[in-house]
Amino acid sequence: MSEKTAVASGEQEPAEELRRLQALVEDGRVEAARTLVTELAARCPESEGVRQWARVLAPPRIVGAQPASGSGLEAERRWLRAHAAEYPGCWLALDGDRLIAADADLKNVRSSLDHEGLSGVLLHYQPAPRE
Amino acid sequence: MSFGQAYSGWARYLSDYPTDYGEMLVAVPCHPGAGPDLVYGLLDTAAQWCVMSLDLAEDLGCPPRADDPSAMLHTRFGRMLGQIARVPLVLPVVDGEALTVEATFWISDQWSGPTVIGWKGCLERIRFAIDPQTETFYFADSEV
Repeated sequence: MSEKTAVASGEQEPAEELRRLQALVEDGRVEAARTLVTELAARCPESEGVRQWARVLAPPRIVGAQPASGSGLEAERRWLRAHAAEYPGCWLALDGDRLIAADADLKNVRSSLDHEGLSGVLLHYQPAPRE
Repeated sequence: MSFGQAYSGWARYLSDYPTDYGEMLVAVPCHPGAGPDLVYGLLDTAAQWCVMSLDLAEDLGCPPRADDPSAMLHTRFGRMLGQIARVPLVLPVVDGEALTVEATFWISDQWSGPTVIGWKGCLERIRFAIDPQTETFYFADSEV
C-alpha cells in the first residue's frame, strides 16, 4: 500500500507530512505549521501524531480569570537585586525577603519547601558564570 | 491625540536584571502549570514559544507528556532538543483579574536560560502594555 493511499484511508501515520510539520516548527514557521496541521487533521483524523501536533500548535486560549493576589513582589525584587548573585548556579526560593532555600538541585529546594510546609514562593534560577 | 485601551489587570515586572547570560530586560511574574509557586518569565516578543527547563516543569507539576512532539530548536545557546507541550500559565496581578492562558511551551532538559514568555502560543492572544516609569505590565484577553 502506498503512503498516499494509507493517508487517504486514515490507516496509518502520515509519516512524511509529520516530518514536514516538525521541520516547519524547527524552522520557526509556526503559521505554516498550523496551516499544514489543520489540513492533516481533516485528511487523517485518526492519526495520533497529527492529533498531538494539532494540540500543541493550537492558538493559545484564555481559560480562566482569578482574583488579584495584591502582591507586587517588591520585597522579592529587592532581595534578588541585592543578594541573588551570591548564589551562582543555584535555584532560590524566596518568601518576601526571606531566602527559604538555595541549592543547585531544584529537588533539594522543593524538599526544603515541603519540610517547612511552604508554597506560593518565588522560584528563581541564578545562573553560574559562563566559561 | 490620545487613545484608550482597556486592561483587566496589572503586575509589577522585574527590569534590567543582570544575569550571566545577559540582562533580563522585562521579566513578568507568572505561574507555569497554574500552581501556587511563581517564577519570573522573560517577556520576549521575538521568541517563537514560551520556554522552560525540564527540571522546573517537573517541579511545578507540568512536565511534557510522553507523547508530546519533539523539536530541535535554535536558541541563543545553540541547537537543543526539547518537547512542545501545552501548559496552563497564570499571569498574576496586583490589582484586577489574573489571567490563565492555555499556552504552548518548549521544554528542554538542555535549557539553562531563563523561563521565557514568548509570542506564539501565548502573547499572541494577550493585549498588553508596558509602563517603564512604574515598571508595570498591564494585560487583558485580547478578544474581550
